[in-house]
Amino acid sequence: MIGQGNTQPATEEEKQQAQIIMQNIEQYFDDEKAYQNIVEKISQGGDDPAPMIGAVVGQLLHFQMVSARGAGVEISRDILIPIAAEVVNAIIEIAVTEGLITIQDESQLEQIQGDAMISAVDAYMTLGDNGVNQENAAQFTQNAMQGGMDDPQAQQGMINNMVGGAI
Amino acid sequence: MGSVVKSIGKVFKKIGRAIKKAAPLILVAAAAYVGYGYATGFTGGGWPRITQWGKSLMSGIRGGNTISQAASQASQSFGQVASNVAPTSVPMNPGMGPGGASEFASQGLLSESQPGFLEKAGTAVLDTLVPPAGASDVALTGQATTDVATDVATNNLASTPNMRTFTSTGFSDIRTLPDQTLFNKGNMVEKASNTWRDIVGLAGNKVKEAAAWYKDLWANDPLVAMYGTQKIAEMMLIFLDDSAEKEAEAKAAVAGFPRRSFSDVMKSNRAARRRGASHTGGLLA
Repeated sequence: MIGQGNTQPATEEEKQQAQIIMQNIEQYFDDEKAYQNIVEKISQGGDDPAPMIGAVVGQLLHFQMVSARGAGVEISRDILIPIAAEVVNAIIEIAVTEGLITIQDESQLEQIQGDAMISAVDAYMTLGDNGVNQENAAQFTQNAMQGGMDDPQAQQGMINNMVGGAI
Repeated sequence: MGSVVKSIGKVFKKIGRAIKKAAPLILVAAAAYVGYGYATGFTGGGWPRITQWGKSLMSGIRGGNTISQAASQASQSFGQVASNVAPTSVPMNPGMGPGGASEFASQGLLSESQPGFLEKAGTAVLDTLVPPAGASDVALTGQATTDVATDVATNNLASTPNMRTFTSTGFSDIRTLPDQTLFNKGNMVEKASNTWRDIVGLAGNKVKEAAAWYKDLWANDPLVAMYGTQKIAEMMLIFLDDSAEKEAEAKAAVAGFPRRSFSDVMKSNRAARRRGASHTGGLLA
């Protein structure tokens, strides 16, 4: 789901891709049957909805990727994680609206968000994507584990562009 | 070169806005999780089972740790059981934790060059690749999956646009489809939406169910089926049980080395070759 290097603003093309993907997924949520399907899936998660939320997110993004590829468009893998985060939030909101989960505090929300992101990656990568640059991904992780991403400055680009961003 | 987590600056218009955005640290941690998966043995055998490592990582950063601290703690707790595939012989970088190391194999899980694609898929996938009556003039058996979608588009449904003009997912709004009454974007979005619904429903199902679903899709929504043919087939492959293949591969391993790797080692071992050894265990003629 990722490329390499730094957190930096997306290109215009990547932003356009992100917008289209999110529009598609939002239209999917607008489908009454699809909506009910998601609600049903999340309700199957029991006391821990995060894995199911993540599984749905991973599958939705994967199908977006393969559909785009089928249409001759290669989606930037660099934008998938922030998109996944948005979709996770959307489904959390659905779950809250439907009374499936109750968010007591910020810590609980962060736990669901984080665990759902892990499950989303699991689902997406299990479905498979040979477009991910494996070496770069692992190098990034190595850098992060060695402290290269501990400095908030390393995340500044992402912070500037994601907080408060809106279509 | 891309970046790890590019900032898209976009949100949904209608939903998800009532929920506080995920902290950037969570996104960076998710990115690190992807790389950790590759570093712990994702060499074509499947995405490793490292969920507990990931959850521990997230828990750590929630507790106020830095990513490196949280990753270190996660590795101490779960690194030893991180992988579901045998560690490779490549020396592990100390910074990667104790979960094992990766050769960074170039192939993805569903790489088109994955050996035994059609054999592995068996008739279930081939059946699904053959469109229903009236839509198929081309025998697809034996074709590489990369060609399937294009061939279906160009040969089987001559009146429809080829794959590059297909716009149901909205990736190419500038293109005009030939019959707007049938192929207008709204109609296709609706059908694609139905497809996504069904894709979600496929979670955890077996390949036979997926095959049946896909046959119905060809009958009911041939255009939707068309653009997804290649990758949906790839996706179905992951539902195939490959345990027998893995068992056979494990039995064929020599001293823990996959056959090919052992062969390569011996080929490069001049001293052994001078002594007349070969990777098959016998003496060279």
